[in-house]
Amino acid sequence: MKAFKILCVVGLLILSLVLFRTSTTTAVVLHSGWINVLGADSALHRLWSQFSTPSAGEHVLPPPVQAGIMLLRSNHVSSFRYSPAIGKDEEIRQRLIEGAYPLRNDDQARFCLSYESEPVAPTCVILARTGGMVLADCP
Amino acid sequence: MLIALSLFLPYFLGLGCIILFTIPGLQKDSPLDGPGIARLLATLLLSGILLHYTLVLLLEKLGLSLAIGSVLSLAGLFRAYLVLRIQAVRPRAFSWVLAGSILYVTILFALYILFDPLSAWDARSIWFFHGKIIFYNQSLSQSAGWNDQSFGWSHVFYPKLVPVLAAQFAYAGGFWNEYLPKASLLALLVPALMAFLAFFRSFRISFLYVILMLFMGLGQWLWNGYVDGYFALYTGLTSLFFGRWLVSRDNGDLIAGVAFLGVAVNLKNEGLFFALTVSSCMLAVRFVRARTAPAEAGSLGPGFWVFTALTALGMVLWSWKKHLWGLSTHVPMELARVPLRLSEGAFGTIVDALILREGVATACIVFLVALGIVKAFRLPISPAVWVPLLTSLAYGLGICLIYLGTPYDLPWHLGTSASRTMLPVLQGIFCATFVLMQELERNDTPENVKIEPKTKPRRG
Repeated sequence: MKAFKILCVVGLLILSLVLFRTSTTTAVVLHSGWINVLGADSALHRLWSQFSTPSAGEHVLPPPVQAGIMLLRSNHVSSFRYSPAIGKDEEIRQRLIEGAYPLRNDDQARFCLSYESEPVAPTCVILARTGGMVLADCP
Repeated sequence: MLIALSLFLPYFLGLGCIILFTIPGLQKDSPLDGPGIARLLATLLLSGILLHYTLVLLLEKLGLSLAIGSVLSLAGLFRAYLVLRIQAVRPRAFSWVLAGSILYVTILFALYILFDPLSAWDARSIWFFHGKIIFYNQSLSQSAGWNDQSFGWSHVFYPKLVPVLAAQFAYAGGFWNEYLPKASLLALLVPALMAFLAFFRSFRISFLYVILMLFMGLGQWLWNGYVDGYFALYTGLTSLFFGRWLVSRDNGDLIAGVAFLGVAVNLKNEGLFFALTVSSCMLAVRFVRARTAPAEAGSLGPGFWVFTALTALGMVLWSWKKHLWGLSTHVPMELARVPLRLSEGAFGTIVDALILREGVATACIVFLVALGIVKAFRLPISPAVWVPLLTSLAYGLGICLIYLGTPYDLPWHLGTSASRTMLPVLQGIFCATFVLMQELERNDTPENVKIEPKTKPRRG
């Protein structure tokens, strides 16, 4: 009886694991992640230096956003607005606002970020361009 | 920075001690054996996290909150030393195999939590963006411009527990990046892992079930920066502790359940709905049980209610701040849409998306198989099974109702959120199955039927 109960519990565990594959997949992913880190030369050291570096990890942002943030920082802009085309792209707009923070998005700001493919207003002066993005001064 | 990271556990532990060892009656009669210590540590950590959150909401400044929190934490650790010195705590009663397994799982998850940069949508747009705002303003104050129109998409009215923790870690480290603030997730994972130790005296097959189904089953939701995985984990643990309290009458279970619930309501807005659901289900099960076994109805001391009020304080303060700052809570539901959606046959779409495709039906089948086995062995079914199960089903029905009244396009809303909103439902059913598995295992060893302290406290 005792052994049969244990068998039933084992059966329930196996049934659950077969029906919900995420658990076994996650276990494999987590273990293989560590195996890769421990197997590669100085991988853990590299990960730690990323972890302990200010602003590290911004490579996950879309390339136009990275370029836009770089333009804003290198030109010491504290507030900016974006072009209508950027405003229509939900992903780029959100990533730009949260990624650039503490640089603030303000509709009345003097500096405007736009795609290189967009026309720049005649009253604006282009300050810099990189990675398909343009920063313009629109007094 | 390494110091800041390594001190977060003692810091929260000390803050928890100031609550649990100062409020009279909270630690009375609770066993301090292995599972009891695990439960106490989890409760202390969560109480500490909630007290720190309350301090930030009250004082606003991160630095000031951390300074006052540190003083309180040291005082709490000293108070705990004085209290525990007069009690016979036997760490030998702890299963080191279990504790080692928990450490192993923590290290496994730590790789992805700490070294995988923030890239998921809600993580960046909501939770950690709010943390970034708090960090750069060094405070959770109105001056950060929470009602700025350009943040409208970020749901700034959401609870701020995870953002505050993220900002606090970044503050302690001295900078913001896409890795360090995720340590806040590790701070939430450790108490949950410890809490599960409270359900084991020795290594069992059901322990594997817990690790594989309740933790690994949540997969990327525990490291991608979404709060949903932790919300599911905490709701599951709340109902497990509440359910066990109905059987054990050990107030330590109830206090642990309240601590987990206190964190859950501060993780997501759905936490309030869950609190209502789990409380109703527990009262219903307790009512039925009191009719069949009236002698078991017990009373709770004032200390318990003070503790409950303290765990709710963060949520109340944040609601008050939202009111003061003019942040309105947007609930994505319009009741008037429900009859229209029902007439359009949306219920079938919702059932298909939530119940069938997200695995709720499958989880129910596994639960029924487990129930059938327990019945076949003519074992008694613990009331502890019904709290997670009923809570899960009632919560799931509420979520179905929200989808029926959604102002958004239904297929889009389901497609973007069903996999997350069903996590607490699945977790509840898994927890109920886990209790049944424990029933099967427990009856093999009658000495484990009743959880009793193995050590008698020495009266000093």
